[in-house]
Amino acid sequence: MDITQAVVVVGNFTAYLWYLRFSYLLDPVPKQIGLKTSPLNPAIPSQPRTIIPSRYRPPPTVLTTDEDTDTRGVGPKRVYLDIQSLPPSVSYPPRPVPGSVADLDVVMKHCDFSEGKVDLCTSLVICNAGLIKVTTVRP
Amino acid sequence: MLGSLRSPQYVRDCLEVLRLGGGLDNGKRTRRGQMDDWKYIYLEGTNSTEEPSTSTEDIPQPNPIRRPRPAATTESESSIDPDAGLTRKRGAKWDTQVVLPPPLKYRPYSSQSAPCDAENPRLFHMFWTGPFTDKPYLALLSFLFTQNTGIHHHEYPHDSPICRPRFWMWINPGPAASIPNPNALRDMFNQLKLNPWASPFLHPRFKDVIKFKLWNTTEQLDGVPELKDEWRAMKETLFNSGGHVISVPDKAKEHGSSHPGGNGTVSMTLAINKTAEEEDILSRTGSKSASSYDKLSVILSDMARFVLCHRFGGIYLDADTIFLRDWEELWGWKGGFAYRWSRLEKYNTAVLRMNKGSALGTFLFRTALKNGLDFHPMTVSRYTADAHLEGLLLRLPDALFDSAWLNTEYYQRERPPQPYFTELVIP
Repeated sequence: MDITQAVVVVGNFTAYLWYLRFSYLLDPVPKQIGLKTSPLNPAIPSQPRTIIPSRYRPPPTVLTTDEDTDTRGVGPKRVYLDIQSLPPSVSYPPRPVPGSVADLDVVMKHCDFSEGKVDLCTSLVICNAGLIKVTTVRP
Repeated sequence: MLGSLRSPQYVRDCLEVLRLGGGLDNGKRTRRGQMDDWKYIYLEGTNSTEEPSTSTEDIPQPNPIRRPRPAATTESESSIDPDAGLTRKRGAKWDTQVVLPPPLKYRPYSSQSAPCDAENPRLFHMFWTGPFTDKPYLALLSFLFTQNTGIHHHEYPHDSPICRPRFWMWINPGPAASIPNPNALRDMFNQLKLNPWASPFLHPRFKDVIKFKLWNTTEQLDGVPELKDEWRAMKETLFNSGGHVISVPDKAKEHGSSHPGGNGTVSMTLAINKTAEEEDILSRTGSKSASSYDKLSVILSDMARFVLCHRFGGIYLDADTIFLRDWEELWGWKGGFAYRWSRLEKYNTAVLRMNKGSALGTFLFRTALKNGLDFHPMTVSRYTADAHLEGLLLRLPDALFDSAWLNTEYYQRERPPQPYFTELVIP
């Protein structure tokens, strides 16, 4: 079955545009959504762009249109907390700070299980370290 | 490609990051590199970091960058169909344009006048069919033990900086397909009072944090603006799960006069034919045992979680959930989320967060309506994937809610999240 069959498009892209204001992730908006401008995103702080040296980028006249659209962070600054419990108060963890937020971008970065990458990486390490003997089969 | 390789994402390592960032360790830390990278809990300032400016295009931008095509300059470009590239479901008509309310203002905690934000109520929803048992009892007990409910106060202080979470336990009085009783609410409380697993939570001490709510399918579906005019036409397929439809015999007419809701109170409030086989599937309660498990109630709960989140906002939890710690920081992150179905790139909606009346909710209900009201998690995963909307319902890693899952499916056996029980010594 054609995978696009499930979806009846609702109200073109309006739904996405509206909800975008609550997209808390740094992830860009998929190009298929067809945004024409980069929207302001009040949920993320402004992100400095790392500008690569000009010799590594195409001339400014070249437009890269086949990319996802990022959102421009205009949100409040974030202060990352160093939460530690020190002995002897270690039997119970401290209550979280009221109003604190879990940065799920960081959580995704450390925790998202990606099957293929794990397997590939593990085998790469094993191979490179010479931990397995590769038996070549003669024809 | 070497550059795209990441270090293995073991659940065990992830749990270490989560534990240290949340200060849940005992302080005996091993010195490791890159610890700043592990900090994941933050507080937000009051003001925006940047005023929206129109002249950002003057700033040198890296190239290639994620910038969309510039506004159309020629006539042919501006007349591009906005639906281009999207495939319509066979045999379906385009849905009418949805009118959505203007976006809400983003308000960080520090700029709120009260600790609770009315737009993001801290409400946990749970759905239970049939008599109350030790299962939902444990869920409620763990809620009281872990969340910052402030029940130690006689009178909750008005100036508390904490937004106390609340728990709404939705009780579906009978088997999913049975007829509701006009005295259902009174009966529900009478039964809860008599039930040893439920009665402790009726104590006035818990009145502000735990509420028992009567689930009435007709009333709930009528409360969803996206469904209210159309769901009755779908009553044949109301119990649809992953495309598998269980039809409920319509006996509503015979009982029409005794229906509390009057006209149009049909479908999940239908009486049923009590032949042995049908009774088997249609009228089991959800709580007896794994073998006599009410399929309809499970399917109903697949939909109920979306209805509850869309109507009231908050987080839905499956009834087999036990809280292990305070969810403050998860409430702080205000986007929608569910979690991952083990190794698959699909949702498990056992934990589901959506905002009240969100556009994502509108999209899901309208799409489900055209797909036989199918809210099976696998089908929901298709809705969001096909519409490129997965970014709006974050698929959180299993490590957060079910850290053993991957391991029990024979992944990461070489580095399990918890040590194995290799032997059991009974003294």
